[in-house]
Amino acid sequence: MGAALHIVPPEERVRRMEAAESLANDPQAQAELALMARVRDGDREAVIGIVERYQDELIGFFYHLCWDQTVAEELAQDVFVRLYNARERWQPTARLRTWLYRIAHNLWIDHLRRKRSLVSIDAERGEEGMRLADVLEAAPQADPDARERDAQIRERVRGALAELPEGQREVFILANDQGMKYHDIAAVLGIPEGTVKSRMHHAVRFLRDELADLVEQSS
Amino acid sequence: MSTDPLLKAIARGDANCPDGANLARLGALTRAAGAVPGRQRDLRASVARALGDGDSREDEDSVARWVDGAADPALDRLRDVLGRAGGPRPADLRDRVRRALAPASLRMTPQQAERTGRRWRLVAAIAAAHVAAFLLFTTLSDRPDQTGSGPAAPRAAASTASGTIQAPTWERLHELGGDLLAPRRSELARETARADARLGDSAPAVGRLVAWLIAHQDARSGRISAGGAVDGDRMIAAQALAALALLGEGAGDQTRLARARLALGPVAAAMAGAEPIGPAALSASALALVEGALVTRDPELQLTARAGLLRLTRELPGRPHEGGLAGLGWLAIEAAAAGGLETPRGALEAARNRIAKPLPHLAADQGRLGLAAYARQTLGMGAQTSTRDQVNALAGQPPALDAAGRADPLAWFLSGLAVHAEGGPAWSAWADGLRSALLPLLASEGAGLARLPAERMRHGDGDDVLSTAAAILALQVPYRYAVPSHAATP
Repeated sequence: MGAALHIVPPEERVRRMEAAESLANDPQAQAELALMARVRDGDREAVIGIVERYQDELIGFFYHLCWDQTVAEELAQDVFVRLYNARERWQPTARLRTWLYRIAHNLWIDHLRRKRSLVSIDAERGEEGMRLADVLEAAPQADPDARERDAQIRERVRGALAELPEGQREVFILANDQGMKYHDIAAVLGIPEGTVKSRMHHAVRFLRDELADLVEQSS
Repeated sequence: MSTDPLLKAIARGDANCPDGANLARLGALTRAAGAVPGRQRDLRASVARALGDGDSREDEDSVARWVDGAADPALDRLRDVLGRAGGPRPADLRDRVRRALAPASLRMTPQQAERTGRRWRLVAAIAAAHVAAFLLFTTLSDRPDQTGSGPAAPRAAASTASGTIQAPTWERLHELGGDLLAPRRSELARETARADARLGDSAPAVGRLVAWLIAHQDARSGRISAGGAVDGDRMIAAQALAALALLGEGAGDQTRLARARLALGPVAAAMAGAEPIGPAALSASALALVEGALVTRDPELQLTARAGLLRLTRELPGRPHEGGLAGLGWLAIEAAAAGGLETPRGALEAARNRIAKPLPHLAADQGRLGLAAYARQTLGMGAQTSTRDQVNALAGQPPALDAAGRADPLAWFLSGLAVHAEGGPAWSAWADGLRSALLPLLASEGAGLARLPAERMRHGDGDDVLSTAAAILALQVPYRYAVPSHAATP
């Protein structure tokens, strides 16, 4: 234990102490700690409390990575199952949200590895280029031109995000869509904060260039 | 030049290296082929870009401040634009996670059941059948009708002995919260239903036929094709029937389910397209989408099925058509309603009146008779004289090959549903006929694959997908839908 402490750089020790302090002062974090303590004791119903709290944002996280509702739901579900299965490894010093996203990140990596063998109708585009679900979703909009324009913009934005390298995309989604700070993203992805900063910067620059005309129009 | 002995040997040979001559030859060969990966990349442009990017650090800091919550109009606009990519629909994962976390003894999957061995499976199947029959008897049977004098008294009591999963009329089944697809929800239920229908020995054949369909599916487009010259309606119908055949095996096997979902892709695309689709293909496609939604319980597929039902309702066939094939469209709407999917207003009544209820002549083809009889059974009219006549007519002509030695599995599917709901000696004779007519026609293809050659099916010209899918459907009759339980009432 002592040896382990010695190899932790002083600034990292300070950061950890600050994190522990902020955890102790955050009532939501305290409630989650209590919930996780129940999970660690094998209380399955406590997991459902966590599902209720985090399902939307985890589905959103995966959805923005794959644009596939079913895959997003399946992966989000797996996060909670894995959280339960790995409950004994959880440390009370870790924020639950960070822990969940670490699991989510690992699941996403696993998913990418076996992606070739995975198939889903949601990812499947018909030869006519539009899914029935898209048609139905767009139905309430009276103006077909506006519908067409929206569909084009959606495709362009999704295309631009899909073109980002995987590491940058994940950082960008965690920061932009999930509202995470750099140090949390670094903890989730297990990379230095500087790398997060640089990936985010590159991602923003790429998207700004790629979607310059849309950004211009929106102003 | 590298100091690494191996690289040195590759570069110019090395007498001290045991395999120096070969390594030198390898080096010469790769150099001759110009294979020096990564060495000749021109980095000038990227370095110039990096050097020219003087305000990169400042940019990084401004992005960091924005992430921390500081306002930045340009980046805020970018965020607005990115928001137009759309988000997911809300979903409630609580029950799914609960099920996934349930102790293994409570959620034995078909795969796990497979591993526990055949003996245990048979014991469990019998137990499951009794439990299922008991539960259905106590929760789903329509007691007032049973004791009443009406013609639709259920025969759920008889089902406790047989193990077949039975239900009252489909409408009542839905009101009671029953599951129309219960017989195919697990391997055990399917096995029980097959055994109960005296078709237990057809399981390996169904497995090989399903494997053949999967082996002929394009892993990207989902299209199932055996290379024959089929297009238009026939291709859509074959694709839809193949998807139905895969869905008939339930949702336990994730690979098979993924293939079934994939097979629905071209069906959904055809239904979303502007091209006209004939009544049979339209009906089969709608049924495939509805069953896809019901089997997977996937909200996205439910949305797709609803859209398919909209098109079907708009272009609803005005009559049952040859072989009763438009009956698949009625089945789609009826199954959607019984399964809790939203159906377009008036669709159910229109489908019943135009397709299901018209009385066929007793000399009509088997498919047409089967559709009429089965529709009446599911609508609570199983005891009416006309239905009895239809069922008797079907029972009198169990599956047999025509003069040219061809089977008619599509007709046998529709009529099989009615005869199976009837049960008793009529079904026993039917099952024997089906087995002896159909199974010998199957052609083995490699290890574990089998197909029904198109030339051995009536109207089966084209490739073997349609004929193979139809053969599977005919054999899946015992576990396709919960059996309407009033059928045998005199």
